[in-house]
Formats: sequence, C-alpha cells, structure tokens
Amino acid sequence: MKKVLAILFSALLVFSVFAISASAAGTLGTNEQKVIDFLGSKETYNVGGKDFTFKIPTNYVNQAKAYFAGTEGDITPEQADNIIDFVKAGEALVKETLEADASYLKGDTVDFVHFPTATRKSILDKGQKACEVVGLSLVFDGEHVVITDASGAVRFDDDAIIKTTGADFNYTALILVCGAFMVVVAGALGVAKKARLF
Amino acid sequence: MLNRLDGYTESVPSSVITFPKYGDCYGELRIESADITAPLYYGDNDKLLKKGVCQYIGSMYIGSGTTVLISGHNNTYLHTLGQVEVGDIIEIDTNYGSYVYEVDSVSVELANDSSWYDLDAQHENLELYTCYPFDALGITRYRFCVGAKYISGPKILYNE
Repeated sequence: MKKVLAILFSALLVFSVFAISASAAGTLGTNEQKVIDFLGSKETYNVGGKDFTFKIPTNYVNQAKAYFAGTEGDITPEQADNIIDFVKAGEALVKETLEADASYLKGDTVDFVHFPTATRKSILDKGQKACEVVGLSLVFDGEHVVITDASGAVRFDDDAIIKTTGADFNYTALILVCGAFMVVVAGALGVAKKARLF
Repeated sequence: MLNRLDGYTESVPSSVITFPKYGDCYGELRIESADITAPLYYGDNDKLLKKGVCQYIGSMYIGSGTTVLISGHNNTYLHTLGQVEVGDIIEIDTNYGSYVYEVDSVSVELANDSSWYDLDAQHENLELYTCYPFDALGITRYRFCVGAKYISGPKILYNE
C-alpha cells in the first residue's frame, strides 16, 4: 500500500534556489509554473520492501506558488531546471538515507530532524548559503524552518497548519484571581463564624 | 470564456494584484448572521491572531480555486462563530476583489485531524475555524469549523 510522505527538506531546497528574481506584483511565468508543477508531482520509491509515494506537502507548494506570484517576471528556463535538479538531488539524499535506515520513516512522515547530523547539515548548508546570496535568511531552530526576505517578511513557514485560537491562558492572572477569591471566601467565613452562623 | 473562468463569476489578472506578504492586512471578513466583522491578515502567528482573523499562508490566496484556511480567536473576532448556520453568507473583501461564500457545513473537529479540510481541493472553498469550546482557556483539542462554498468573486488568472 502506497503511503504519502512529507519531505521537510524539499522546502529548504526549493526556497534556497528560487530566491533569485526581484520582487513586485507579479504573475506566474511559464518557467515558474513548470517548477510549481514539478513540486506538486509525486514519485514512488521502494524503501524497506514497501512502496512509498514521495510528495512535497501541498502547504509547502502553496507557499512557493505564492512567492512566485508575488514576483515580477519569470525565472529563466535554466533557473527552473536548476531548481528542479536541486530538489531531485535533495530527494535522492532522503531516499539514500531511508534505504540505509527505514526507521527514519515515522508513519507517513520522513523524520528529517533525526537524520544523521552530517546529512541534515549538508542539506541545510546548501539552503542557507543560497539564501544568503540573494538576501533571504533561512533559520532552522531544530524543529522548524522559517525563511524571510530582506524586509523581514516571512516567505516560508513550516509551522503547524491548525493554530491554537483559544483565549490566552495567563497563569499569573489565574493565581491572582484565585488568591483574591480565597481572601473573599476566608473573609466570608470569618464573618460567618463571628456571627456564630456555624 | 466559461471554461477560462471554471465556474467563477469574473476574473482578475494577477499582474494587477499586489499580493499580501506575511503580516499584511489585506481585507475584511464579515458574517452578518453572527455579527462578525474582522480585519483579514495574511499569516496566522500569535501576534496577528490578536489583530484580526488570519489566513494560513500554506493555503492559497482567495480566488485561486482551492481551499482558503482562516482562523481567529474564540474570545475575540470569532467568539460568535457558533451562531453560524448552514446557508449563512460569508463576505470577504480583499484588496483585489470581493468574495461571497455560502456556509455548507458546521462541525466540531479534532485539531490534529486533517480530514475536515483539504488543501488539495480543486474548487474554491473556505474553511473558517476557532478553538472549541468557546469558553475554553489555553490549548484545546477541538476546533469549531465552518465550511463554505464559493458563490461569487474574481478568479485570479496567475498567467496574466
């Protein structure tokens, strides 16, 4: 049974390479669309005797599409091919790692954060250096990747899709409220006792 | 022309759109039936969720022909979301067009269950959510989800 896998690192490679054109209101050019179509495609590999379908998460591809849409003009055919080759190279690294040790597969997800340090560093280094050349900053805090442009605007974020949208839970306020409540109760008990109510 | 619009009532070329970047307020969301009016932000971190309702940047821009995922706090902008019913209208004005959706589902779902939204959908739709129960404090397991289908608004023509 084929399983769909998420590849965290692919986002790093994608964003590190296509951070090339100047930014303005824009369109999706033919070459950019070629990259988007490739990012949205699937590849099936056999790992540990099982077929797995590798697919870059749609929420990552969407962020790439949004970035391209916000830039003026199109990338060149060569740039598009380079991007695709770069991502394929990254996928090959993942495939190699998984073939060497299938335990990096956690359900339907590739456990990138627990890859061998050298492999993970190799992928991250490529991403970071490419970003620095064109003024993008890539930060990996050990769990999450965030890529920002020169203005500090976030261009890619791999944070959870569904956010916490409940009321803020302020522990300090809770302690103060509880404390005040206890004072009131103690006071009321004191009054009641004094009045010989019990 | 109909095929080009793919069910949309109108279109807008992307070349005339100033697409929002993370943190930009680029519109307003209204649900009259629940007395909701909220500024719409692109991006959904804690800071932005305090300022309005927020679009998840891993979902495409409104008008892209797929799922738009928007959230808001249950004690501020979406505290009356529970009053929304199937058939209610959701209006979203953006800096590139005005959109109307009709609510077609209302449900309570687990936050870590991704089956209630589909970022791979091939049709324009809106998913709006907030934490549930509405009087919950801090982290909750559930989300109150409102799904809505497209009624009107411009399709973004990304190649023009």
